[in-house]
Amino acid sequence: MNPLLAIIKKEIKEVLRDKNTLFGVILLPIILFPMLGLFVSSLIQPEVEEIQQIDVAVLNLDAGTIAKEILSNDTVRQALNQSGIRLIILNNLNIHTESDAVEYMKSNTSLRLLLIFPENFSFCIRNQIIAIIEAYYFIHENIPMQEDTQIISYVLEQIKSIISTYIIQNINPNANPVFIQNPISALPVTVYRGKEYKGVPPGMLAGVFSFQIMFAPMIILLLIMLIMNSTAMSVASEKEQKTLETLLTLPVKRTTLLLGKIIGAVIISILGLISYIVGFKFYIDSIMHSAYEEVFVAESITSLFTLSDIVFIIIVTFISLLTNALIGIIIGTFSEDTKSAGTITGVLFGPIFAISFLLPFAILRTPSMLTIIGVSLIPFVSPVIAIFMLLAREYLLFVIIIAIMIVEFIILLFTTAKIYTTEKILTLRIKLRRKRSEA
Amino acid sequence: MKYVVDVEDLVKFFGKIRAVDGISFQVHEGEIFGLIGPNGAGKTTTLRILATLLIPTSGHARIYGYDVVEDAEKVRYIISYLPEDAGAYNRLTGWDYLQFMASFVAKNKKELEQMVKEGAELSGLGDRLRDLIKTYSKGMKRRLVLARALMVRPKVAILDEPTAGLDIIHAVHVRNIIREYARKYGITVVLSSHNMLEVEYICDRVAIINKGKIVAEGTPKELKEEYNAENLEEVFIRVIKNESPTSHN
Ligand SMILES: Nc1ncnc2c1ncn2[C@@H]1O[C@H](COP(=O)(O)OP(=O)(O)O)[C@@H](O)[C@H]1O
Ligand SMILES: [Mg+2]
Repeated sequence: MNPLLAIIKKEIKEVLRDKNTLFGVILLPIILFPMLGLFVSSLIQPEVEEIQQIDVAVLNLDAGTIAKEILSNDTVRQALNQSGIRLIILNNLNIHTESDAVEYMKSNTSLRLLLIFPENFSFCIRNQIIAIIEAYYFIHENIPMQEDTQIISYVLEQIKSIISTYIIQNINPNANPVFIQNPISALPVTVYRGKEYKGVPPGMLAGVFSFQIMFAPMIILLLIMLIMNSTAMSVASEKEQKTLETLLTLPVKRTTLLLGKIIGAVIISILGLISYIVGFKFYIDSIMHSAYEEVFVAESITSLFTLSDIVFIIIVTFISLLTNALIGIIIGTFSEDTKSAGTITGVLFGPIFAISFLLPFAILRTPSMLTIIGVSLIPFVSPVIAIFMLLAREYLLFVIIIAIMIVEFIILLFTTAKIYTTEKILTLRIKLRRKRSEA
Repeated sequence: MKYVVDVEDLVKFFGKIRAVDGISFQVHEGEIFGLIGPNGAGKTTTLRILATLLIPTSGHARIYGYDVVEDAEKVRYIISYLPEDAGAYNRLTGWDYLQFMASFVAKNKKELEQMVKEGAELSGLGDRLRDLIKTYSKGMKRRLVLARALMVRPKVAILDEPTAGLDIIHAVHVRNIIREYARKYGITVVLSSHNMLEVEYICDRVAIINKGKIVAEGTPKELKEEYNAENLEEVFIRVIKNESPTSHN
C-alpha cells in the first residue's frame, strides 16, 4: 500500500465533503465574478477630467486641397486653441505616409492622438459623402488602467463642428443639413504594445485588459487564501482530533505525511483554479456579447497575455500555492484548535487582500527596483507583483521575484519539515501559550 | 530479551515543568499493564515517550529491545498507539477511516481487507460504519479508534485513557475488547487511567503514578493487601499520605 497516495486520497475526500470548501471552490466564483465586473467597470469608467491642452497629431493625406485649407486656416486654429486643442501637422515634419506617422507616434510618448485625413477627403466633402477619419490612440503605458476615451470624442466633436462651419462658410452653404451636421466619422484605432486594434476605442481596450490584469492576481489571491485556510484547518483539526498524533506513531515517514498534505492541498486548489477559470470564461463571454457585440466584429482584441506569459503565470501561481500551503500548515500547527486556526486565517484575509492589491498598484506609480524587490518579500504580494512585472516586460525583476519566491518556499519547507519531524509538532502550541502568559 | 517494555529512569521536562520525574517499570509479554494516577500525574507524557512522540530529557525506554528514540522507526512497526481523547476524521466514514489507517500497515491488498474486516468487527458498529464519523457519538468514536489500534494486531498496544468519558455501556464494551483481544493474540498492553476502580478489572499489574513519580507498583491484589485497602482508590490515598508525612505539619 502506498501511504502517500492514501494520504492524498484522504485529504481530497475530506475537502470534497466539506461544504465550506466546496462553497469557496465552486460557488464563490459565481457570486464573485459579477462583483468583480462591477468593481472593474467602476474603475474603468472614464473620469471627467478638465481638458486643458491636448496635442493632436494630424497626418493629411488628402489628394485635394480642402483638408489643407482647413488645417492651415487661422480662425480654425484659433477656435481649436480656445478648446484647448493644438494641432501638430506631421506633414510639416516631413512625414507623409500612415506607417511613418504611426512609427513617429510610437516613439513619441508625449503624443497620444493621431488623426488621419484620408486621400478622398476633399472628394467626400465636395460630394457630401461622410469622410472617414482614422483616429489613432496610442497607449504608451505597459499596463493600461484608465484610458480617457473622452479625449477622442471631445477632439472629434470640436473638429467636426469646425469642419461644418467651414463647409457652410467656404464651400457649400446649401449643403444637405444632415451632412453638415455629420461631415466626418471616426474609425477608432487603438495602438497598444505595437499592436493596432482597428475599430476598438481605447477605453474599451483598457477595460478589457485591466479586467484581465486584475483577474489573474485576484484569482491567485483567492486560491492562496483557499489553500492557506484549507491546510491550516486540516492540520489544526488533525491536532484537535489527535489523528495527527496517531499518524506520527505509524510506520510511515513524517516527510511523507507532510508531502501528502501539501500535494492534497495543491490538487484541491488546482480543481479550484479550473472552476474559477471556467466561471470566468462564462462570465466574460456573457459581458462581451452583451456590451461589445458590434465592435467585436473587428475581432482584434485577443488576450493580453501571450502563451509564454500564461506559462509563467502558472509557474508563479504554483510556487505561490506551495508556499502558502506551508504557511497554512504552520498556522495550523500553532493553533489551539480548528476554531482558532479559522480565526487566524480569517483575520489575515482582509489585510492580505488589501496589501496584495493596493501595494502593487501603489508601487506601479513610482516603480523603483528596490521597493519592488522589498515588497516582493511578502509572500502574498510577490505573485501579484511578479505578474505585473511580466506584463511590464521587466524580465530581470520578474526573475528576481521568482527567485525570491523559490527561496522563501525552500526555507518554509525546511522549517515545516523540521517542525514535523521533531516533537515540536505536538508541543509548539503549549510553548506559545506559556510565552504569552509569561509576558 | 527479558521485558517487552523496559522503562528506565525516565525524565521529561517541558521548560521548567517536570512532567515525568524518574520513572522506571517493566512489562512482560502478553501482560496488561496500567499506569494509574490523577490528572497531571505524567501518564500521557510517559505513554507519548513510549509511542516515539516525545523525546525524554533523560533516561531510556525500550520496546522489544529497541530504544524509542534511537530506533523510533523500528518501534513504530511494533506498537499501536491510541491517544488520549482521540477522535477521527469527521468527514470520512468509519470504513474510510479504517481503510486509511490500515493502508499504512498492510503490506498488500489482501492484508488490508483482512485488517479492515477485523476492525469493523472489533468496533461493533455494523452498518453505522457507512456513515460519516461526525454523526457518531463519543462512545462510537472511541470504539472505532480502539478498533483501529487493535486491528493491526500490534505486538504492543499503548492506550491512553481508553475508557475515559464513556458511559458505562461503552466503557464495558471497550474494556472487554481490550481484555479479550489482548489475551487472544498475546498482545502486550500498556494503558493509563485516572479511574482507579476500573483498572482492577482490566489490568494484570498496575503502577500508581503521582507528580511524575511511581509511588507503588504490583498486581491489584498485592497492592490491596500491602496497604490493607478495599480497592485501588484507597491504596492511592494511603500511598499519598505515606509519601508526604510532612505535609500535615
Ligand atoms: N506539551 C506540554 N508542554 C508543557 N507542559 C506539558 C505538556 N504536556 C504535559 N504537560 C504538563 O506535564 C504534566 C503531566 O501531564 P500529563 O502527562 O498530560 O499528565 P496525565 O496524562 O497524567 O494527566 C502536567 O503538569 C502538564 O501540564
Ligand atoms: Mg493524560
